[in-house]
Amino acid sequence: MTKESFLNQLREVLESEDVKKNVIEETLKEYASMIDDALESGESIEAFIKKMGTPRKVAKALAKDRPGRRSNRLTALSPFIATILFFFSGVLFQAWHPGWLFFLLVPITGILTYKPIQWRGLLIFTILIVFILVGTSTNLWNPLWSLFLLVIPQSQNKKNPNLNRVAMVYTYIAVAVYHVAVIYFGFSFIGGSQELRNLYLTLSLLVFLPILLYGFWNGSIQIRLDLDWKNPKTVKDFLLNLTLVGGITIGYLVLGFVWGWGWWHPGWLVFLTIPMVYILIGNKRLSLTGLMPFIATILFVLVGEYLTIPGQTSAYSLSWLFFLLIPIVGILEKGR
Amino acid sequence: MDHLKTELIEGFERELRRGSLVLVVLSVLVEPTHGYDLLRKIEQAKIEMDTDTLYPLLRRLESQGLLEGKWDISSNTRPRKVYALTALGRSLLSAMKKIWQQYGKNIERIIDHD
Repeated sequence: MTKESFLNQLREVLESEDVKKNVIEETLKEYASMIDDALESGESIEAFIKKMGTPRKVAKALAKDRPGRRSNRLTALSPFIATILFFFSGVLFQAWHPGWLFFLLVPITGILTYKPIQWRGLLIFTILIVFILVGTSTNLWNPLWSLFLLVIPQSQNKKNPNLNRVAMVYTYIAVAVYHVAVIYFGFSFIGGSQELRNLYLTLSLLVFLPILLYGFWNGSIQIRLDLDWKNPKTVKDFLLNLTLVGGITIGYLVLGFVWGWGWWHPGWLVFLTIPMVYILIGNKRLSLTGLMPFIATILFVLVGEYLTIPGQTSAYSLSWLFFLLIPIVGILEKGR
Repeated sequence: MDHLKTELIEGFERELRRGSLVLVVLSVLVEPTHGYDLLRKIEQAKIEMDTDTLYPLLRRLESQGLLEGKWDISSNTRPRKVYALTALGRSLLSAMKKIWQQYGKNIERIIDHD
């Protein structure tokens, strides 16, 4: 890595963390000066990074120190509000499912009470709610999954805002056209056999390829974390990220498309394995507490979806109990 | 068992480093110093730090009014941002030193008792 590439990376991650412009300029100026000092004293840039942190670490630390949190009170209250709403909708209207979506209020409140508001994060949760609500009521998991692609151009590319605008327009049109093609025509306008239509459907996914490539380029799909081809560790991390994220995405599309399985739901649960893998490899010791929110969600959805309980309209009315595993395991592990 | 011991020792050292970092930085900055020089002085004192903490810490202390950072463009060398303690910073350092020394004495009394 050179001084220039370090500073470029630092600028990129500081911008992506929404650090104020004057702070970015000041930080870059000072880092440039410190790197010059390090190089003059015979130190390598790698040694400097080892002492002062990678651009990502520095940016994260600066963003963490940024004054922005307005009030934690609402965030702290949100789990209780979500639980009350969940029980209210379940007991009064038997809407255990999709009433559990009220729990998404917890991260959404977190996003809304943080200044500046992370619109990208808000969009992800909004799409997730639309995906599950519309998906469960219409079973149109395909093409609904493609809504998640709308997140990609939300990561502002400040170097080239015009290209970002083009990417945004292209993504919205591509997703809209894909929805119309699948929902209204079911690809029937192509004619031919179901297998042939499946093939066309699969080929139509190529329309999304530029969006994915743009996502890799602008950093909104981040599998290129601090990649340095000369450094075996970063290459190993890159390959792991690529295999994990790519493999699971392909796996999800296979579950949804191939052989007419149509497992869009609850196939999306496979994405929860991504944070689980990072927790497993990031800790020296197995931490069940960290894994439990994901395990509980998987159990909650699978049991809620597939189990039939006599006298209950939906197994979701009881499967929420899996969420109690989170504090139970936490207490047990802490007391060990 | 060994694993647990190592983990506990690492945790102990980490907590100590975190808890004493502000005191270390303020102590070094009794003499106005620029960023890289500050890092070297801390290293020379054989005090370990978590990477990525120093620069954000300087910014935080500056925004809290404990430090004042000024770009030195008067000398013949390249411009460098030099940090110096403010009156509030000096007063905090003096209070922190007293607490540290007293606490250190108390701890020593306990551990020497072994």
